[in-house]
Amino acid sequence: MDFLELLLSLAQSTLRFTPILIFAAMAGVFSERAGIVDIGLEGKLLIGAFVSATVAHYVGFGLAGMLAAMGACIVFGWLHGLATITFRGDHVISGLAINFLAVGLTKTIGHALFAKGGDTPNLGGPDSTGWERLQALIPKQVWLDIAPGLSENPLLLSIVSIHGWLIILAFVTVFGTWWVLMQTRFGLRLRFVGEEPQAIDTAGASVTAYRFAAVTIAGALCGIGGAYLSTSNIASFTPGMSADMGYLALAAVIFGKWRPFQAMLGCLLFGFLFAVKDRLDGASQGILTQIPSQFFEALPYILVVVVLAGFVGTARAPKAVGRPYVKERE
Amino acid sequence: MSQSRELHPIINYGVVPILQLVLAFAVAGLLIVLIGQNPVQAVQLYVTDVLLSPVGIGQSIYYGTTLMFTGMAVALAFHAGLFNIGGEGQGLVGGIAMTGIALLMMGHFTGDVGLLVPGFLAVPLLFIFAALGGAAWAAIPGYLQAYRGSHLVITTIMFNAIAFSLVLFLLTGWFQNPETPGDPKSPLYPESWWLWKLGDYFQYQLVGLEAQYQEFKDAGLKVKDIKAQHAEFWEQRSLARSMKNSAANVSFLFALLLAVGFWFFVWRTKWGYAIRAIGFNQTAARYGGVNVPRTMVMTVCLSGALAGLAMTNIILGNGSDSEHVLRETGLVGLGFVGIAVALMGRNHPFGIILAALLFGSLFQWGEVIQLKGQFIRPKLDIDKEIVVALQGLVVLFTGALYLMVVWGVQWFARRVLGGWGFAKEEVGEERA
Repeated sequence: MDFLELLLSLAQSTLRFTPILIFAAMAGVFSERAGIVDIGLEGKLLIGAFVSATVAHYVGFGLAGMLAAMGACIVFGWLHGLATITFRGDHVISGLAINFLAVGLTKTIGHALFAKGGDTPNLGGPDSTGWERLQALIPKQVWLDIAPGLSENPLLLSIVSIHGWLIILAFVTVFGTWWVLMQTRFGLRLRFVGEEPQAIDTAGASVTAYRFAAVTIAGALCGIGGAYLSTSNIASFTPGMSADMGYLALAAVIFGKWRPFQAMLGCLLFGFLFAVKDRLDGASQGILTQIPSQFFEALPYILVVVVLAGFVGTARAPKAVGRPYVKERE
Repeated sequence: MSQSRELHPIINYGVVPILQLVLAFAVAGLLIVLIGQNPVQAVQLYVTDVLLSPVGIGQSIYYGTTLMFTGMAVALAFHAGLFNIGGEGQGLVGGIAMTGIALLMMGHFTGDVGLLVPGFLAVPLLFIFAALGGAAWAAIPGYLQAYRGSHLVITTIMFNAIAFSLVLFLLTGWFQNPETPGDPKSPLYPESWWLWKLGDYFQYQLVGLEAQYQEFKDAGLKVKDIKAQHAEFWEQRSLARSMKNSAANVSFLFALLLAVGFWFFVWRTKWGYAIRAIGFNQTAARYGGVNVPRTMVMTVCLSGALAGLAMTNIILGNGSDSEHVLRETGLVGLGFVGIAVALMGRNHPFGIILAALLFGSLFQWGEVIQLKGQFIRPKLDIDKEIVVALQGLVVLFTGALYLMVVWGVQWFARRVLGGWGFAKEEVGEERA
């Protein structure tokens, strides 16, 4: 019974952490499959989280925050595209620049707007209807306003106002990524852009356009991931809240050999490790008190290294990843 | 076409970096305007309190010294085409190794007086352990990159996080200062091991000055009398008082020497040749007889050693007497700034020295804004993390958007200046 409870709470926490990783990982799959290394996932998550929480605070509507976050992350995706596609810059350096910018900008602007050491105000006060959070698609209070009769049926009410449509969306995104990449002409060409850009060029399509499409999609997905982080999972933004999740997502992409479903498994694994860390951090679980809490803090990161070193020895990245495409002249 | 495509070296190494910096600063200035603050005031503060103030210059050199180590760490890996962003973690573990041996000598573990060897023996030993610690922490990601193909960027980031947990574990346990149980830090290093700093000179000077001040007081002089009658003395005393904690220290000279060594190693030894060879073309290097994986591991280890050495400046060279301790903050972000320094300095030690001093002064600028911004009129309310944004902008313009600036300059030279500014002989792309 106790064990079952532990398992259930672990599963629940895993589900809470995984969507962040999944959105970022799918963004990574799109970028990397098109030949763009995206270390900037981390920074874009942070920017998405900040913009979402800020806009949701001012507008009072969580979806607006999410859309704004998607927009902001797309802009930073384009910046990455401009640097790597147009100006053939190093992908890792460009991504790192975005990560630094994300840390600096969110803290500076957050301080200027709210003067709370970079935090954004807490969303969803006690008397709110819940629209400012991204939890239920239609908040409980709104359901009750529409159909007062629902209050007599708490089960139905909790089902229709379920707090987790973004979690479901995350898994739908995995399927969507697979479908777009593997089942559509767009996806086929996108993959070719990452493997043999010359082939796409010869076929008369624009490598540049496909790569920009990839960074745009990646930006949008990071925006959703960031919005989930600050507006759904927690009710505010705190500086540095992305906590290396973007890098973990990238590790999950490599772990999944650049395939959406396998990458999702990686995300679930890392999400589970975070859940374990969260659950056991300073917990008094019998024998576990002997182990310092810092060990659990480090556990996800240690296992990422082990997984990358052990499982992915033979993984093959898309052939043209990280390389600029220079059209042959004459 | 006989027009050569490469820019003249003076333009390439002089004008282009300045343009990149100007762009980065322009965007940062725009940001300051956007958040409703006055960029002119921010620049004023930079000039008066960093560039023209003895304290500011001293602190800039202190931060710049750390950045010379971390910048060279990143640059060395860059020469091999590798990206070591684990400077923070390697610095922390360098600090752990160094503090471990220090605490052993201080008798911290055995609970006795220990073996307090004199500074001239202890300091080199501490430097060696800091380097070894950093190298050891870099060795695993380096090995995994070279032999297992694990992405160095990701593994070093993970190792940063792991190092942070490790240092917290040690600082709340074995390395914990018994006098400050709530504050995770190591015991204070003995004073004889601290590095000679600029502040020491002023502290020494201050002894005489204060004695004289007391004499004036005893002679019945008021403060304003002293100010009026002995203006030179008063100025000397206030300078000494403000400079007595100046952290610019002797490891700046060590870093300069190391920069010369860096140049010699990279461009004048067979190891440096092998490093540059694998950075240029791994296949060709392998055909040329270079053991690519082994060279990779060596490079990353040396890079980690440089990052570890950076911790000596933070611990042994600290300006504050009570801060000669190991803390979990480690390199306080200067490991990451090293990336910007390496990019800005084009991976060349001379460029790195200049870029490190520039970024050192910017770091100090952030501190000044935080400390003084509230007290000047009108108030300058900017978070000091703006320096991180600026650092991102510099990385963006000097690294990622490098070609944008170069192409812009080339276009300008070709169209507006009529071909002036290009190198004389035909080099580069045209021949390929």
